[in-house]
Formats: sequence, C-alpha cells, structure tokens
Amino acid sequence: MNRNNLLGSLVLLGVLSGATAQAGDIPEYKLVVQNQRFLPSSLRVPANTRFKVLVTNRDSTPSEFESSDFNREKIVLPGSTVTVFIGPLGKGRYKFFDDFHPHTGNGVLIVENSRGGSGQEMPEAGE
Amino acid sequence: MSQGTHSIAPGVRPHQTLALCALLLAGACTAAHADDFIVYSPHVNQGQSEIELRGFYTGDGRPGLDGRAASELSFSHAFTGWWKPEIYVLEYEKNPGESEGLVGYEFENTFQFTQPGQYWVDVGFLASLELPNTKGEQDKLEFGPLFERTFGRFDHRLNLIWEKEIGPGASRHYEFRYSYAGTYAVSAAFQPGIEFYGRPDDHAYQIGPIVHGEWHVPDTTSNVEYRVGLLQGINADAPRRTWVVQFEYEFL
Repeated sequence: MNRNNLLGSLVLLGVLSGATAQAGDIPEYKLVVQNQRFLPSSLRVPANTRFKVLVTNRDSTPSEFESSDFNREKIVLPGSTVTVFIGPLGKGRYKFFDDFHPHTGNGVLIVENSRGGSGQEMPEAGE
Repeated sequence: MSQGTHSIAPGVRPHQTLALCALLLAGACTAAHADDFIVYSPHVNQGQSEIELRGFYTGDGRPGLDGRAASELSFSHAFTGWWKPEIYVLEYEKNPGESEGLVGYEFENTFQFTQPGQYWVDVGFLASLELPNTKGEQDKLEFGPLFERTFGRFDHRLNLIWEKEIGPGASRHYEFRYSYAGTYAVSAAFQPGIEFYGRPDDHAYQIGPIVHGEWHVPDTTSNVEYRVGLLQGINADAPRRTWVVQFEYEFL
C-alpha cells in the first residue's frame, strides 16, 4: 500500500471515529416480551430524536426484536434485557416484530412531533 | 478504459446464473480470496451461531481474469455481545488455467465497539489470522475498522482492511482494500442495494447490484440468509464480471 492510500484511510478513519460523539441522556422506553407478545404493543416516541428501548424477555424461549422499517435486529435471551437504540426517525408508524414468533410478536412505534413522554410506557394499541 | 463501459452481464441468462451459483456452492471452482467480496457488519448478536458458505466467480474475455473463483465455509458463534469469532474450515481457490485447491484456514474475529444506533455511526473491528497450506505462502494478518450507519430502511457499511504477511521472510508490505455496501430494506427477505470494492494494490475497482435477505425457519429460532450480486469492473485491471454468492444459516 502506498503512502497516499495509508494517509487517506487514516483521515477517513479519523473523521468517522470522530463522528461517534457521546449520545448523552436520551429518552428511554420499555418493552416486555411475554407469552410471545410485546407489551405494550405500541410505543409513542418523539420524532427526530434518538431514543432507546429496553426489551425484557419474560418468556422461557428466546425472542428476536427486529424491524425492517428502522433496520434493527437484536436477540433477547430468556430472562434478559437488551438495549436497542433507535432513531432519529421522521413522523410516522414503524413496525417491529419478534422474528422467532412472527405470528404473535408484533408491535409499532408511533413517532410523533410531541415529546412522547420520556420513559413512559403507553397503553397497548386498541385498549 | 474499456471494461467500465460494458453493460452489466450482457447476454447472461437466468439458467447461467443458477449454474454458476451451484458451481460456487459445490466448491468445485474457486481463486483469490472470497474475503475480497464481503462487506462486514460491525454488529454482533450475542448467542447466535452461523454456518456460512460464500464465494465468487469471475467472467472475463481475457485469459488472465476469466474463471477466477473462490469459496469458503465457516462457522461462528457470538459468545458475547461484542465478540464473534469465526473459523473458516475450508477455503478453496481457483486461478485461470489451474485446478481448484484447498488453500488454507482462517480464524476471524469481529469486535463490536458500539451498540447499533448508539452513536452517529456504529463502529467495530475485524482481526483475522490466515493460515495457508500452500508451500511458500506466508501466514497473514487481516485487520481494520468496520462501520455501519442506518437511516430508516437504508443501511450503509464501510470496511477498511489491511493485510500483512507475518512470520520469517514476511513482506513488509501492507495490502489495503476497502468496500462499501448500501442497501434498502424493502422487507426482511428482500434488501436490494449496491456494493463497491476497491483494491488499490491490484488496481482493481468493482461495483454492482446485490440483493440480500433472510427468512425465518418456522417454529425454530433459526434464519436462512442469502446474498447474491453481480459486480462490474470499472477499470481495465478489474474482472469485467464477478458473481458473488453467499448463504448463511443462523441459529441459537
């Protein structure tokens, strides 16, 4: 590799690494997997804001929190909690599902301009 | 330069594509490194195991570039949320005019440094040790950062990889390559996009469409993933066409 390639790569690496600035305190939401369903099945979250969802699996089988709408995939082992960072997202509805139980494990993020209530669990859709 | 002006895969028919895929997966043909045609994700999914088969095949009218191929079979398991070791148990290669051969083994590690979506870009690191079984070939280290960024359904990955011979008589030269993949998730099963590969030491640059996706295996905690693509050489030293194929079985 010549010197120009090395220099260019290091500059690019530095730029990209520098972009990993601290996220700081961000809104937090909670989801529970129980009986192969997400509880609640919908969360209201703020638009254009990065937030995190803590997903706890209370079942005795693994779950996989997944979404094509916002490109996330995370395994949640039985009895464990994982953190899923999401966003910023534009206003709208974004589906997520349990890839291991796709017929029962479905939910939606409702992204809206209001603040959405940091850390607040919202009622299940349809309630 | 002439290759860059050709349309992608002129005259290639679906049954030819299938035949090439079958050939790759059988390991019957193969050359160069299959590692050259993968864009790694920095993400590690704790507890997940994978069996992966991937390879490529080049088509080019020029004798030195036609019929190069490689394929490899690997197993991996993510022991933690930040470390996924992978062992390549079979690596086959075939250069033009030669018969295919087992070229060695590889121990690869993916380290996830940041949680997906935690920062502006997700960062990881690749470090692997290649152990060739060909006489006169040096052991090699491969290493470099892995980046990934998602915007809704869009996903972007960038790899910067250096390769260095190690051991007695090793060259001091660091071989560098980089790769980019950009995809759009229409659904989990269908995620089309493009991939770009640059190998400055070979003066070879390639770009082309790819599609990947996954299906859940019903009533299991397993998924089947695929990736197929056709890369076009964009300079004279790159093969005109390179078929890329990958299949993966993920399970807990």
